[in-house]
Amino acid sequence: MFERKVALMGWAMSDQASRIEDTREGMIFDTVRAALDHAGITRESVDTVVMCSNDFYDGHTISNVFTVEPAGAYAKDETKVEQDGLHALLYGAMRLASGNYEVALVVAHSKGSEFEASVALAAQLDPTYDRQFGWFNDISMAAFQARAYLTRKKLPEAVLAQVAAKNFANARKNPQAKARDYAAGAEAIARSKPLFEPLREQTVYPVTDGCCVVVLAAEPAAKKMKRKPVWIKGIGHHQEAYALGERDLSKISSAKAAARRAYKMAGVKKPAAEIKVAELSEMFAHQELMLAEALGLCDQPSAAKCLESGRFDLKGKLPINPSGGALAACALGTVGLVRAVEAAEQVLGEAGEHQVKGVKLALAHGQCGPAAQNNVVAILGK
Amino acid sequence: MGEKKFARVSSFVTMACAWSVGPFMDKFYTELSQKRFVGTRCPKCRTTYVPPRSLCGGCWKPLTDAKAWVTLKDQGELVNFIVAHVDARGEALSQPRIIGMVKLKGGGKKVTPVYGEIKGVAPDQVKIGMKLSAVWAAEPQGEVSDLSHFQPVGK
Repeated sequence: MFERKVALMGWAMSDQASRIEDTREGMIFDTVRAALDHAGITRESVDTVVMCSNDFYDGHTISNVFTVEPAGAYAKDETKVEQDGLHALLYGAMRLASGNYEVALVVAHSKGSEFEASVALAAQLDPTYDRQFGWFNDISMAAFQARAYLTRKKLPEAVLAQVAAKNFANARKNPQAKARDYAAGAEAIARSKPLFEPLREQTVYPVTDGCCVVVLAAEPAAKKMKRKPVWIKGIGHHQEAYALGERDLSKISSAKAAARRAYKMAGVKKPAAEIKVAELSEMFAHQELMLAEALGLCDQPSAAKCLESGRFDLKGKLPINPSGGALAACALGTVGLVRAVEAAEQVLGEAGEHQVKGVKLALAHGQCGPAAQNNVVAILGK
Repeated sequence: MGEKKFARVSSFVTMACAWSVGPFMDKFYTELSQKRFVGTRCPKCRTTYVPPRSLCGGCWKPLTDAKAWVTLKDQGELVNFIVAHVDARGEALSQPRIIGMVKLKGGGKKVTPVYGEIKGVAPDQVKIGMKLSAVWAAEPQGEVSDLSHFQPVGK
């Protein structure tokens, strides 16, 4: 439980697409300014800044030395996490909950058009064994997880294409998703280029550029600000073993544990009924189904059956990824923070064409590590 | 909108690293060069880690006792597999390769699987639960490639 409440007070994100016209610094500067404007505050009100990127993505060590100025962190208290933007939001919220700060800025960014994502992600892996094979990166690791899940649930590979088809259809209503052509239906997706079967080009996230910024404030400062607060009602974080062979790969148990904490803090007893929309970091299509089960979002044991019944559709009982999710667009390291922004917009009824009706509580999920080793779940509400 | 080309500058970030594998993996690679798999077993949860680990993460126990070492058979069961069409950098392979997770015999009930390429079976014929045996490199060097691949038992 937080000692005092923390809310999302404003935000901005860049288009999630290749941004050749911008430097990283330019992209951050524009997005931070837009987020401060959105919150109705100036840089002077910001007490602390939590950045999220990855030195390998940036091609710099301690890369935040180059980004403090565009992020508005010059001569301020600033730190950086190398996990996901939702981890950065968690740290920012904890700083505010501590009572030492009133307003925090959370800034996540990466420019996938400027580095080789497969190399950066393979560099996450254990060099003394896993990397020695030359086969492994985040996609091949996740492909084992997909196989384990499909096998345990006795599902055909085609179900992965159905997840992607739903999210592509949602992305067509999201003007900021510009990473791929979202016209493909399930059949075309199922025939897309195989990478590491059962995963294919269109059931794996597309790498884009992007920046996402959130202004957080603690009460009572939050209540004095221009916009309506979207409160962090609950938040949980958990992780499991690194090695795939040491986990039950057919389940994401750390997401379940993270959700249990978040629900307890938010007073959510029946997530499948109380959560009205979920934005999940499904980097790979199978993870959306696995997460839906782990987070208790299904009204029956099979997420695949829920998907088939339309429960997770934009107009379904519990829409998942109305924005299109990570399968639609993915600037690495921003994904969970983008989910939080999408969830906050859903709570306020500001999500535009992909708005879900009557959202009281929304869930945002972030992850990092091979095959979703580490998970964060946040519950947002008015 | 006309597409303006912006200049890009490149600066290679390359740095050869040479990690110490530590005493546990050193023994693993040394034994591999003798065509043997070894692991360590946690005295508390009885999980056998292959390759060997110096600690059991779940039980938070050191596995430093000499009795923790287990030598496994070079046969086992396929517990998971993927079919690679590209390499780790996304370059297309000339033909698909099957990469498996294989639980070796001789480590008790709970044994973590090793990685290995599966040959001698077509990608659409691979079945989880298949019995496999290791095929060793002709001249093992004490590295992962000492395990050439796994193939169906009796092939």
